Amino acid sequence: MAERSSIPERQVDVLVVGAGPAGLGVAARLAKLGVAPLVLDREPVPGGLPAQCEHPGFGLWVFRRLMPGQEFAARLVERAVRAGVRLETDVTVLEVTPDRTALAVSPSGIVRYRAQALVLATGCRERPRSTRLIPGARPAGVFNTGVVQRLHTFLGLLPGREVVVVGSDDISLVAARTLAQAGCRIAAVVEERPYRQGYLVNEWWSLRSQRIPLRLGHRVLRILGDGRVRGVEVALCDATGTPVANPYEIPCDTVIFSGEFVPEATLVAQAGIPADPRTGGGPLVDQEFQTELAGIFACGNLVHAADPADYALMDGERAALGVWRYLMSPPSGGELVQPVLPGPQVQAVVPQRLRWAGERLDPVRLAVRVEPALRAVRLRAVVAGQPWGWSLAPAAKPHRSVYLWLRPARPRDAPIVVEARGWPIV
Amino acid sequence: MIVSASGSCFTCRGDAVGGMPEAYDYDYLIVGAGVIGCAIARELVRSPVRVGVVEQGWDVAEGASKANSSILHTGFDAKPGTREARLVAEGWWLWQREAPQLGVPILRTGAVMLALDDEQAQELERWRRNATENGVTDVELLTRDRVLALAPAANPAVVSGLLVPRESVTCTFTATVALAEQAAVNGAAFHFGRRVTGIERSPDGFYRVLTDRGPFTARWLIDAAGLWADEIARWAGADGLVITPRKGEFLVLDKSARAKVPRIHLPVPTPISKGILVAPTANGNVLLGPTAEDIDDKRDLSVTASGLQRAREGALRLAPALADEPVIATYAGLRPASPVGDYVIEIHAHDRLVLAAGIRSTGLSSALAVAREVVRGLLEAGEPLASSESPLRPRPRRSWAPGQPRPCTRPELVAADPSYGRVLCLCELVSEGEIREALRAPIPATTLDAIKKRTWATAGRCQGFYCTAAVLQFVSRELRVPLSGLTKSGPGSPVVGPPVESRGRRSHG
Repeated sequence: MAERSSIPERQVDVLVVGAGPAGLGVAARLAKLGVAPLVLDREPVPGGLPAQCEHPGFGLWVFRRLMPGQEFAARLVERAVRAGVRLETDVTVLEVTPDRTALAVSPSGIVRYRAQALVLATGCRERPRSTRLIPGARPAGVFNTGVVQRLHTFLGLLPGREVVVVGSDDISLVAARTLAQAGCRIAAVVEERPYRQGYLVNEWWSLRSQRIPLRLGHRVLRILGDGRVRGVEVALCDATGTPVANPYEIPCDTVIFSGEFVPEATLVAQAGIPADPRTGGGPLVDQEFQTELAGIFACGNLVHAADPADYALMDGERAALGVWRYLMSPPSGGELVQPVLPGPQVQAVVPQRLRWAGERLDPVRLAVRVEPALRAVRLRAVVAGQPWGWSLAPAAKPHRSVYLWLRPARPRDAPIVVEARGWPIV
Repeated sequence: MIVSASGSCFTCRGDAVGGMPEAYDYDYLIVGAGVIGCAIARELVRSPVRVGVVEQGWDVAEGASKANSSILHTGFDAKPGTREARLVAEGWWLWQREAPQLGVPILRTGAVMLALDDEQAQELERWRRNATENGVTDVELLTRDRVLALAPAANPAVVSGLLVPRESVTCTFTATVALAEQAAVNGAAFHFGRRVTGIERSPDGFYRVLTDRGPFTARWLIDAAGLWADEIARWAGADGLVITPRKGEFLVLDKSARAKVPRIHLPVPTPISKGILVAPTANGNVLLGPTAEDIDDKRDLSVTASGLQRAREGALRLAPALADEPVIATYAGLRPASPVGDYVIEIHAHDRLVLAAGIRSTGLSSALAVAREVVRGLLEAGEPLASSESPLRPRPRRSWAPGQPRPCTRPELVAADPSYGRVLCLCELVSEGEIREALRAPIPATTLDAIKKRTWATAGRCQGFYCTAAVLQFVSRELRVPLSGLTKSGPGSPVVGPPVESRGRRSHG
């Protein structure tokens, strides 16, 4: 990248990249612990993805009530700034190096930051239409939910008039409702899996109240249209994606590909931080969200895209303790690393390893993604053939984490295998 | 189109239309602003003549020039003795000379043709002879070890290979835009968004080209209409030209794949097709494709499930190591194929008609040579044109071209203009500064696709997830047009819908 010599350098104790819930969570907690972090965000408005959400559903964990995303984001920003966090927006981090420097550009110039500890909290994004390899024409009017939210919240615009939403997780369902209330006609919500991904209560609240049809087990076979979307061709399909009924056309001028979040891991890959393909490229972390590179931490939906904002915030607060410990006593070596491995019916587990130094006995929280979707789920951690911890959940779906708390396991030199049991949801 | 549809052309020079009491608008009217049309326009404006370009799309490079592999061919695999072989070979050298001043990137990556079994290995010798016949004498047969050293991602089953050191990679967007801009600053007038609907001849032999938004008159008509060249030729009175669209589907891989693909990977061609290749791009991505499928509809640019699958499988046969690399985009292009099997370049002196047609997949490579060939033909027909060495005014410099460091990474540029420090597209690191340059260029970008072609904004791994709203907002502010007036590719392709009517009603319904 740019030449080092001509670029001013600044020393900071802790640099946080990304002012979403995770980044603000780290920063606010660190500030309370007496460390003054600097948070950089490339957007003009801090707060991450919640800042572009006008719908309620945020803040139960920290603020003890549900509030719209915008309000949640604003309160997190206010809380962080009041705690003494320095926050700079419109700053894009171009490059991160393993020795904890970050090259950043803003309208006022290019700066290289040297940090004692670096926290990546760059969040996640939805997979675009092209990555999903959806056939058909490539007209205007094809969006991700995130884009539609921004158009709506920041620019006061609707994406179109007649909308088909592809995906049925909670974000998709809420987007359908928001657009319906703002004046769009939602022709259908289409889901390729045979089951709804979001919560049942959300289906009632978002779709049924608006009389929006939900087409389960349907795939988009083709997008139609020249200049602008004219419709989508869909069909009921089996698990392999083969149509089992006649395809039909849903006329619309807008298609929104929703959900299917992946980590925004550009900096992780660029810096060469070891990543976990099972999470879609998020970095490998330990229970304190430290990556494989000492002093570089990563948390929030960058490590497990996409869990609710409140969980990203919780990550941030836990990561702050890790950062603080790292600053107080950088690792002296000799610690024990215990891998956490996905077992049967588990797609991914975060953290991917536990690091043990001395005789600390903090309990550990594992975020587990199952595959396939299960009902009446029992998660179990097994160490050296011995069950070590378990938890129950009424249901688990691949796009959301379910959690498992563990006491520090012994022996600590054998891997922990996490497995899930339950009835497949079909 | 971003500028609301006023119907006027964007780059009309004052003296090009009207002004003079002439009986016609242009000495030469070119139909089609693809790479061929733009190259011909640029060659003609070396002389003090009036050149017009009429294009149905709202930007240059909206047809075959928009969706190809961006490879700059040496012509080693062309059929010897054909016009295509000669012009591709000449075009390669012309591009080497012209690219620096045009600001067009050329990466001399070289290509490796991979023989995956003994039968194919025997074919290589034939292709080596073919290359030599076409004047490409620096090709080299490779042992398996050499192949794997030069193409580390190649299929381990590879038997042997053929190295074509001069096969290069350029950028079809940048190349076409650069040619058009240099033509424009030297006096060519571009008329976008005008579909030719008929052609009439006046008794004194002038052409009257009817479009859906008004006619043009011209002394000469130059048919560079790509897929529609047959229709234009027929209207102009030249029968016999047949153009059939041949669809090619491509996948674009994220930049992480680029390090694995230092060179173009070619399959051994079959009698039917050059086959599906793997190529680096000037912007640091990797292309897989194209398929080759003859279709009927000249507007069918859709990608298909089977086509994408074939493109991917074909490419992975050459380079299985790319299997896990993420796909960030897909597209389809139509090559204007002619049954003649060669370029159709004809100068009808009596009718004052030029055909530059049937230029299939090598048009980007040969464009500069085709333009010269056309001018040579016009000179022979007695047209008083200047030599091809007459100087041209340069095109304004851009702060970025594919493959170069982004302005936002250059301290001196950011210090000089803070808009280079405000990054809008975060995957491709496109700043406000580059987008402003595209909006104010000699051929101004007027659609989001046009901005994408010039800056790559929204073309990275997130495909606009983070930046679409910011780019729209910036463009709207910069051009002072409402957001609802912004389009993807011209009228009929609005990017967004209507404003939200009552903002109070929604929040807690």
